[in-house]
Amino acid sequence: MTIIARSLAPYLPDALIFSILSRLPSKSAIRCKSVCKAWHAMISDCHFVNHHLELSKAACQSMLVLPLSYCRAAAHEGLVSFWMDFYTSGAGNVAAELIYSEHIPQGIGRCAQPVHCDGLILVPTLRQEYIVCNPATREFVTLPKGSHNHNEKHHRIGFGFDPSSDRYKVARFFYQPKKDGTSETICRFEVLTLGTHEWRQTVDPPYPLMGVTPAHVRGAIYWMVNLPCVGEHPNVFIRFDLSNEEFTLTPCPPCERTEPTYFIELEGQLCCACFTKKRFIETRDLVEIWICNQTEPPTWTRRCTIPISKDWIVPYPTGGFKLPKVMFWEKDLLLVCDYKAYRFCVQTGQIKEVAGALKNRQYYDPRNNSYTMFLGKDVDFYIANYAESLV
Amino acid sequence: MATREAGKKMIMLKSPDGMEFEVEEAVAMESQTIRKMIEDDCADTAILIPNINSKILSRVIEYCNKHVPTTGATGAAASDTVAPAALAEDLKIWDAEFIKVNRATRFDLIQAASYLNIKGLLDLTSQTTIDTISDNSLEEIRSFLSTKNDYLPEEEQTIRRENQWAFQ
Repeated sequence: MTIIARSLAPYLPDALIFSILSRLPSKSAIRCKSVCKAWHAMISDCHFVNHHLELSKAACQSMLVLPLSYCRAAAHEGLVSFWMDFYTSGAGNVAAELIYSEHIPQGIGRCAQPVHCDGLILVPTLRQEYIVCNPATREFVTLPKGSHNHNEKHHRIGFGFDPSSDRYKVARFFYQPKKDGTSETICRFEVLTLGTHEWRQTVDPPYPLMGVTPAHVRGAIYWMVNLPCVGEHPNVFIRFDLSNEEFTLTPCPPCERTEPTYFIELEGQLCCACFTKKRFIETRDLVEIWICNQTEPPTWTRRCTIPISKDWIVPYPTGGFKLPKVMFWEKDLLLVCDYKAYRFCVQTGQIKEVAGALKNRQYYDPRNNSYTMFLGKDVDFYIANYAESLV
Repeated sequence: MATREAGKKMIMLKSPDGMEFEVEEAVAMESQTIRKMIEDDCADTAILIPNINSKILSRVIEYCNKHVPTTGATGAAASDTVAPAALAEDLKIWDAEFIKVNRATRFDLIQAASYLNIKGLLDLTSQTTIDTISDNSLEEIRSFLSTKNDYLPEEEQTIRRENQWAFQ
């Protein structure tokens, strides 16, 4: 038996080495590739990567904070950013730690809400650039540009894992002018499989899609419908299946005073934040969190209702409002509005401000070797749930 | 289940070096491996635990004794008076003391926890090893786990350079 043969020095069998290494943080695991050839092979193997990801997901999820400071490179170009900094913050506090910073010499346009899947972060920009980054392994890839979108107001990207092909796929919609020469546009859809360099056009979605960040749930991506007229709205979400690349419809949550506003990332479940409808907004603002049950046909359960105080809704200078962003944080919910963060306890219904969360946070700006406040001119920041991985 | 109603049913565990340990069934069932044996009725009067010597087995039983959920009549009364948080804190201190053993014993405990499938014990014993790997140099990791460096010096240099940032 090997135990006896090698018992001179205290030793662990390979299966246990595997189990121990797969519990390591990504950075330590990558360092361990240099220990010996057997470890290098083990850590590089997809079996290990998958196991490591499962454990990372099961452990306390952290949050990724991505502040971006922009500057005007040329008058006609609009805002450009040259650095992308990835901060994570662990459980229990919002204090962030810089894990990775990438210099982008050519600059990127203004970013939209990044999407996360299995430790990979996909950042779309207004200039239709797409960046996929794994901050834990420092892989940073720029994807090819997709088809031109003629409706810039509506641009969002979906990102998910297709278990049937074992690949990650990026999905986007775009508007194209109709061939009849009118100014009307038609909504089209295309997919890119990570590892390839080509966008493939799929069938058209059954309804035009809205510029709301879609949700990725178990091999499918859910989108909202862009039909502003209340009567016309079919009251459905559009589900895009990543394996057969076809569309189906999912009913919206049966909310009355509220309307589906955006999706919330929740591992393995479709979850939607519904804010008070505009015509009720004077009375009492609230947000309802609805979770889709995995039944056939899908039904919805209201998880909780959170009252929203007036000063959480930030008006834009250009008109419109910025609503607080709700995300899951351990067993509670975190509400991020402007630069404040509140923690909502689902059990007791209590709301507490998270002290010193984001308002006074600074980040290091390598361009002029100084610290800049998150809060400031031409600085946006994004916050997303995150579980590190070696994918 | 019939076995569970018996409450204080005792189980005999035997180590390969011939020692016998009489433990409560509930304690033995902290091990998923033993639980499976009992539920499948594979357990007669005594269960032989291969690979685990009496010294290690007695420590594993000590751990299970401490961590068995207190659901009995006296146990319920105890958890009523002691807050769960304080109880958990108490267990943590106990665990920290329990794991103060030499490297060989710790590796034996990891193997035992893995074979007997005792998640809490495996987590506890693995964590110190994980910390050691996270915090120490490659050379220290190698000697800690008795792993031989089979890279040529230039090969190791190349691999280190590829992942330079992970060493910062």
